[in-house]
Amino acid sequence: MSVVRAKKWAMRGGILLVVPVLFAVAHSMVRPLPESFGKSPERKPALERTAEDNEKEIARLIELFESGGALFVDARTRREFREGHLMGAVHLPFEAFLSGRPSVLDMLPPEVPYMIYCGGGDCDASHNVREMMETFGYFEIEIFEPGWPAILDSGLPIVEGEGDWG
Amino acid sequence: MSKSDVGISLGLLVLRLVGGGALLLAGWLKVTGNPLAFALSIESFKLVPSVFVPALTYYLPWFEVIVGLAIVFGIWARPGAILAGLLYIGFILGLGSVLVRGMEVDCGCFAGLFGTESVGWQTIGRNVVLLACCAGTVFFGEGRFALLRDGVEKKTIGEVDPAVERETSPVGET
Repeated sequence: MSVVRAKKWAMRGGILLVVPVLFAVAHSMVRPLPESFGKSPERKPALERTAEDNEKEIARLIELFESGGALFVDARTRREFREGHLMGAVHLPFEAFLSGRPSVLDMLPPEVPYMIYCGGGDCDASHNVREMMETFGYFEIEIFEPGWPAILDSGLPIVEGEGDWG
Repeated sequence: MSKSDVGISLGLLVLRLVGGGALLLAGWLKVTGNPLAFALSIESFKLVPSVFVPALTYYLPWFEVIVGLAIVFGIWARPGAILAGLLYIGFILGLGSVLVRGMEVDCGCFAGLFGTESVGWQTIGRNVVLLACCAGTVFFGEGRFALLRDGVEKKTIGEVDPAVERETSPVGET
């Protein structure tokens, strides 16, 4: 490759790198991130959670399930949800928010409490879903930190399929 | 233009449509989607310091759109393919590090257009295929079906690139 061609490619590559900056600046002014972004409370890493922490959360889960005190949201992938989920849980993966307001929110009243779970460990999906739901006016949301493995061990009914919401 | 030339150019067009088209689609879905959701998706990978996440949230989708357009329409396709290739390498390394760290992260690929999926070998494999398409464009050129062919414009008045001379030569003349 000649030096002239290399210089030409470098210049054109530079333009391709710079032009998106202009669009990005304009985009950030039209649709800014909410001020709350990046200010989420610190989470306790899974390795630092004790068995006692998990037992408390499982007891809370069972209490809410048996009393009907909350609606449950499964934030895992569609495949994982289909293979098994807490009976009555709504499937609302984080990716549903990437293209806008998920239609499933039409079926979820904002004024009732919610408990969200994902795959357990340090999975982020439930936290991300909570943050997104808050932007749509849902504020009474708890995270079930121990996640799916603890639900399996909890003895609560597990069902397979696409979901109870059709 | 012989049949084999047309075949090669069609092949190069397919490479551009796959390598650049995927980038264009992914970028456009992010541009028209929810910026907060994309920002959270970037954060989930835990690869970028939080302070850079807002900038990346807005820059990356537009970079994908602009570079994707350049490749698909064949305007500066080769420099575009180099940049796209570097981006795909970055994606492969990022996705690989997620797997190595044993994290459970939603891919966020194509804004969930093709359903939800966790980061896995299939997502890495897809990026390897797209990287190969971009490498093909870089090494073999953009082909004839491009709006602006590399090296097929006049350099200065009176001086014509050899590629142009070859194209404009009468049939049979060498």
